[in-house]
Amino acid sequence: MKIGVLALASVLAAWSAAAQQQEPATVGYTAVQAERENRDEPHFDAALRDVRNALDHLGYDTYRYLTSGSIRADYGQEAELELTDRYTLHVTPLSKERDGRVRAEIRVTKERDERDEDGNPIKVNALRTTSRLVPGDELLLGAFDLDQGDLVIVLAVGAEG
Amino acid sequence: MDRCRWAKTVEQWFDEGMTPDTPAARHAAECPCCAQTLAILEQMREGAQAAARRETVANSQFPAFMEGIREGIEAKQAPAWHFNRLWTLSSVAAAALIASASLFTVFTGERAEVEGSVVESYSTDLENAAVSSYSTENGTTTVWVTTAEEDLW
Repeated sequence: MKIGVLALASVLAAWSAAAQQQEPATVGYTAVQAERENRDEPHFDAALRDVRNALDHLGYDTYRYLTSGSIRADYGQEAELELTDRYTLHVTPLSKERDGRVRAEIRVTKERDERDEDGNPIKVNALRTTSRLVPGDELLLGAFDLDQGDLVIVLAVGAEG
Repeated sequence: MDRCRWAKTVEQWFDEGMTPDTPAARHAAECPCCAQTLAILEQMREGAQAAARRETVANSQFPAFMEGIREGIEAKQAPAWHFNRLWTLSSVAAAALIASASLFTVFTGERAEVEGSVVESYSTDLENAAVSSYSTENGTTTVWVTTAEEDLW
């Protein structure tokens, strides 16, 4: 009886302490193909309206929408998403800080032309970063070469994440 | 007191039920020493019978008898029960206190001032590439990979 009650207390305490990290983190992403086409005025695809401010300073004159969505990942678990035929986005939420920021490891891997002994494509980290992200603020990752232009990724941690 | 030479015979006669009209009976009736021995034996027999007598509980006494047993058991158990109850209440109180403190910390704890997104580290495995990080005026944090020449991969 006594041990049971003490065990219950421990479980409650652990549950309470972990409550804020139980919810998976949500990371929104938008992949953009940025190019220089010698335009007089920069062009943004209509689908990029929400991220235009984040892209404005980059110096390209053409921004084309590639894909967008959100990744939902448990803390400590890596989630990955293929952005193009060669680039994959990997997100691992590490912890949620007391100030609300989400500490995460983010990787963008690039698939090489060569294959390993088993015939699988060899991937390298085109970028690897660990950051503490304010929910709602944008994190810009680039520039990763594409056949035409560069790949730029806009990330934002969800407010609930 | 001097023992009569009939003493053993009289004691045996006593043990065998004091049959009348026997030599031992006639002697006991005449001998003061053996009469005193018989008196002592009578007292011892009565004492032994009293000690061997079993107490019995009549049906009418049974409810009161059981009530007494119950009261005795409860009187013995009462201190332990109080101790267990005290332990249980203390444990529940401790559990509630820990849970409340944790929930209070989680839901109402002061949050530090949020300074913005921070890039702790960055790297690349691409050849002839470098990485830098900066923040723009509108608060966009940027991690940028620059290749010195066309990526060979």
